[in-house]
Amino acid sequence: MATGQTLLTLASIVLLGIISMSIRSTYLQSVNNSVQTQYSSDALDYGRTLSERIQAYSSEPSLYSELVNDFGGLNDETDSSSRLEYISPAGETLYATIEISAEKVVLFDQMGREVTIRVFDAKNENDIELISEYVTVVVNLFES
Amino acid sequence: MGKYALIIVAALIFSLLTYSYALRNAIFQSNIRTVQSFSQNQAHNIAQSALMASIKDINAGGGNITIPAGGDTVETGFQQWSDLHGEYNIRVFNDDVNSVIRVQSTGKFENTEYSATAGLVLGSGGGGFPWPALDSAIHSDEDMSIGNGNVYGDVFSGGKFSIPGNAQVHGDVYVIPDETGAVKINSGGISGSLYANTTKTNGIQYDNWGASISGNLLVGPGADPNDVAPKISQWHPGHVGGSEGNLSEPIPPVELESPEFPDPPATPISLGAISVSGGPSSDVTLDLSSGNAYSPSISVGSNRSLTVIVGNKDRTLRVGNFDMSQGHLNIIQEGEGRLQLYVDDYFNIGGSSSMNNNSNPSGNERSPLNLLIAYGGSTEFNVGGNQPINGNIFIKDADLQIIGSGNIDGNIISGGDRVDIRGDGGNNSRVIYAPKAHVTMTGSGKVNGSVVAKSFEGQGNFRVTYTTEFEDTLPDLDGGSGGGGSTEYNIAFWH
Repeated sequence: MATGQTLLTLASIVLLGIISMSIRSTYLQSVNNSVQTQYSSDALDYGRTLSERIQAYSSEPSLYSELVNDFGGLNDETDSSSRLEYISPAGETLYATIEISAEKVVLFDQMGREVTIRVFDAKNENDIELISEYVTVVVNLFES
Repeated sequence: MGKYALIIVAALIFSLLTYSYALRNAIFQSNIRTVQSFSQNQAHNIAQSALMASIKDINAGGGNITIPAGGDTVETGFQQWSDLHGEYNIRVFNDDVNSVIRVQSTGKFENTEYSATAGLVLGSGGGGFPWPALDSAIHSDEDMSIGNGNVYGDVFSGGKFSIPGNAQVHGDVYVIPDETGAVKINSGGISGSLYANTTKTNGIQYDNWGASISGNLLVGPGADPNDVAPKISQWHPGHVGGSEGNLSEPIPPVELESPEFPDPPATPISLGAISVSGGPSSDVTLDLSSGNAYSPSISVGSNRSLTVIVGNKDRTLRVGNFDMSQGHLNIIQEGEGRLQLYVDDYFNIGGSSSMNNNSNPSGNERSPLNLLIAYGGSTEFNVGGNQPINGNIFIKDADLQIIGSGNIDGNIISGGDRVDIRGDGGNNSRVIYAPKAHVTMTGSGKVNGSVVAKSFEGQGNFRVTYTTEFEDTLPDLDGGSGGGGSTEYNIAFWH
């Protein structure tokens, strides 16, 4: 084998090695990303579930009057008694806080409450990361 | 061999690079989907929230979301909603073929849209107050006495009915109680028929030789009319011009419900106290086309004008104390826009003031429907002097007095105990609907329309003339337990 060919082969092997390492890194990143995506997806779904659950309080005056009783005070993600907790299907622990405004004009001169829902990914009590924040409105649709 | 190795390595590198690119692309797409999922959820929240607010506005008659004519569609276009960090668009289609109002709400967050649709059908009860058939000149749940004056139209008395003077009823009279003295007629008369449930002896008493009934007399089933309504004297030729007989069955009592006093809507615009007086340059214009407003007090004097622009919306001007000693409340509206003047504590109108009596060529000029005065105070609601008011008045529970030449072209609804129309007081309208009140008309007080009272007393030269002109001017109010006329929409579907 000529010297040139030998060097070329060695260069190819080195290049192959570099690319292989890069792909391995990308693959690991991909796996990690898939897991994080699943966590994020679970957190978003949880937020939407909470939104829909809260919007349902518009349907009955008796329910609407219980909104603050049911969700008021859930405003501190670091306090287990002031947050909602949920274990996602992927096994991640999610916390949620719900901030309910006072009655105010929300839209079209109609009174209602603005509700802010925040969902956190809790690795542990010291590592709580905000994943999503939704804002919705609840009105007393059939107020007599 | 060497050159094959190079080709193999090159192919391997190409494959690995392709795989690497695919992996990166997958990661990128995954991140995009996560962002899209978040955006769609927030767009969903905006759409649902705007849809709820729209339906509430429709049922509250707020006027921000209007229902178009059958087959037509109206749309707000995308509007910013900063509190929810996005935009909404409301589209209302009046599907008159299926009698459904389709309200579609589209929420937009960043570039993602989400739509929700609700179908509304007109409710069959509750909500809108079903105005009863007002087919009598005077209707009272309890006793009615008309001493002098004239009534042009039918009369319904749920209690005893008497004509202690020379009053004339130019119509039929219906009397419910089955008791002695249910009807007493002095020198007056009934230019029509008397239908009375009484079966008792002397259930109908003629107290004067001139007492007369030009039409027929029908008394309760099975009773002898001669016993129930004996002549004042055996020599009297007869008080009844027509025939005498019996009702086939008793006339049922009619209970009239009261509408609910309206709740004040939200007033996002807060004004200070407003005082209008001085020269012509002191006139004040309030533009409520952007929303309802509240002022703790408004006073208008010196013949100045307070002009309120409502556009084509229903707007509320809520006031703590409203004092118009000498001035004019003008309304500028387009189409069906209306003003509700909601007065919490005190209302006064004096001098030759006027309300909704201005020129408004692009609107429904001087229509009573343009103005609803909702008075929640407890002091007497007093209208005197020469004060043209083209509007409907709803008094929560205060007494009402109309004196002098006060001239109201509109309907009066009262939840109070007393309504007093005196002197030359004129209610050019329409309806005095006060089923909880004792209504008194004295002097030359006049009503053109219909009077509904708990009990009624007419003296002097009063006059009630029944007309049906009120039918198109009765305001939309809440209350009642069913029947037609409801304007509340129920949700038939939501998706």
